[in-house]
Amino acid sequence: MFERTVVGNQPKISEVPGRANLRNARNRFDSGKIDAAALEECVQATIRDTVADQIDAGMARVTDGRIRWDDPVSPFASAHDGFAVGGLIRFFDNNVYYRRPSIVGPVRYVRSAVVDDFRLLRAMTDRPILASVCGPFSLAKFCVDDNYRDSNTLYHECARLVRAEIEALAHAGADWVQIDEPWLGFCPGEIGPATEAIATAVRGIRVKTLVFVYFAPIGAIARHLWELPVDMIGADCVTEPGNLKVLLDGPATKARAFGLVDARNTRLEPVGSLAKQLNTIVKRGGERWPECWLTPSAALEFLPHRNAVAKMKLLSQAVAQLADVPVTAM
Amino acid sequence: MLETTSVGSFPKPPYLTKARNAFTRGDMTADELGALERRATEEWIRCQEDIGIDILVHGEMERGDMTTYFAEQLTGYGISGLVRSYGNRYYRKPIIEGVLERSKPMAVEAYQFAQSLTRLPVKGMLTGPYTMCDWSFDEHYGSRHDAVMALAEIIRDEARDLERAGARFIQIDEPAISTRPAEIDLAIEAMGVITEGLKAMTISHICYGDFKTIYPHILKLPVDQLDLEFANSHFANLEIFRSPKFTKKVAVGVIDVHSHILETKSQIKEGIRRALTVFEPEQIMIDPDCGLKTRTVEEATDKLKVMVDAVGEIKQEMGWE
Repeated sequence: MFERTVVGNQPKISEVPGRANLRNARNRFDSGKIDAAALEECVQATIRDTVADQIDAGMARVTDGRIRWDDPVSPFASAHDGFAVGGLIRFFDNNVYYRRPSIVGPVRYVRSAVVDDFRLLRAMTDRPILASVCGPFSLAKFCVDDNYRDSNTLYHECARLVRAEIEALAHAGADWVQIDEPWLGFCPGEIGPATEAIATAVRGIRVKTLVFVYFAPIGAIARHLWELPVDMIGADCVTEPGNLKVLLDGPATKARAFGLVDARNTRLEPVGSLAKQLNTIVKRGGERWPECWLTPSAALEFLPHRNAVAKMKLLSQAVAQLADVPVTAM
Repeated sequence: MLETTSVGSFPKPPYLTKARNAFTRGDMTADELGALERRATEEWIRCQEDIGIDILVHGEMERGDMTTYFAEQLTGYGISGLVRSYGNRYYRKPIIEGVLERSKPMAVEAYQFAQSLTRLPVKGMLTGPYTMCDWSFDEHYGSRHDAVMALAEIIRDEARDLERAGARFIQIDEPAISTRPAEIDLAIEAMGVITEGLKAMTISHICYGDFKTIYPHILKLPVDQLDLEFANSHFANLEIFRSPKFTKKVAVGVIDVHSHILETKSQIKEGIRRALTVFEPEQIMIDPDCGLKTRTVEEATDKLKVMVDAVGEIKQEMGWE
């Protein structure tokens, strides 16, 4: 119980002496001072560093830190047909920006954007791995649709693309895939077609799947989430504290991922208060659920490296304290 | 009519970038760095004069990040490690660790120096309280309202000092204002604290957000001019402002500051023509979408030149010269 993992981009650079410096490497590559092979060497060293951080902080299931991802959509928009690079726009309510892709033609799977890094990670560690993809609904929402001009068709085509990505990961040996769906909580009016798209992406696939929603409330869409043919529902319980209760109230047959530590503020939560939340989860049936994971509320890349590491360690510290705190009512 | 200006930052020349790194390593004194910052400022003032810009900026040679620069000078702020903002760009995101207080003016000296170099007006440049709060970690206030209003009082004092120093244009940047549309009234309240009683023309720059979510409410922001990016959206954003009628002055961004590609004169002229279908000519200034600091010196200079050329041709065509 309380397997710990991370759920998004990890910091790409660190101020720890001796670490790979991907920022410098990318600058040097852009100015022609190093070649693609040298940049790739630095990317892989950075992935090794982020895996080491996760293991050191007690994460049972590790990720590649999405070191190659600047945002959840660009890796897929650049790997597959039908997308063009667009203007700069803010990533939700963060001081982080990405180039919003336009869909300019039929969305067609070309070659997996993520499976090479899954294989790379598999070669680096024996730990269980959480691979990830952008969910079909969010993939569509992150883009401007200049081609289909019909949202249901767009969602369906994105679902087919994401399904191919998940199949590629399953074929490469992944056992768990996180499906990033931040837009779900912002669009409760579209939850029907959104969940249909996710179902299209995962139904019958032989890999366990986690749909993770962040930055938004899930109360209004909870019933639809629980009915999804996925194995686990996860949510940011910091930006929206009410999401904790929604996760607690779900059916016993579904696994949960609780995003309990704030991935967007350096302030460290008191370990005791986190341990109390864990105790509540235990009391509400956590041991009976198929799985119960603890995660940060979102990607830890919103924090400097040292704070991100501290937040991961905090999850482990809270679990260690779990037995020492009184059970709270919820 | 169609005066030209810039949003704020210009690229640092390579000698200044090297100097800033040397200063960080302890290999250069603050006085030595300051001398190079003034040299670069003067170069940018001369560059803008040569190109024919009407209202100048000092170029922010002394600033790294628009939030961190002010945070470093305020009591109550700490500075964190690096966080990524876009692509391979990082900044040291400030942390509000205690009660925020200003001990001395922060932007006046740079303004005064730049203004002393030219007879053209130079803008006084500040970062707004909503953006200062939004782009900081808050470990102290716990309430965004309290943090924003504490910052508003600080920026108000800074704006008054700039006006006392002679600034005729004071720009209070609020790029984060569209981040949370539900908080627009907080940003408006905070700006009111700053601009109340100022006689200078007040400007607020806003960029890279969803303008639809804050228009027309943003017209209540108590400034004279909104400075907005349009080139980034290929001017599609203009349609948002067509109705209801835009009631303030507007600076129309016609240069994509995040592209190496130099706009053509005809592209810029087309953008201006489209803007003229939405705004009255008397309302409009022309500038880049945002600060040009992410470009090279050559790219920034070329982009400003083509912008001014395009404006000149439009004015000629319209008979406004």
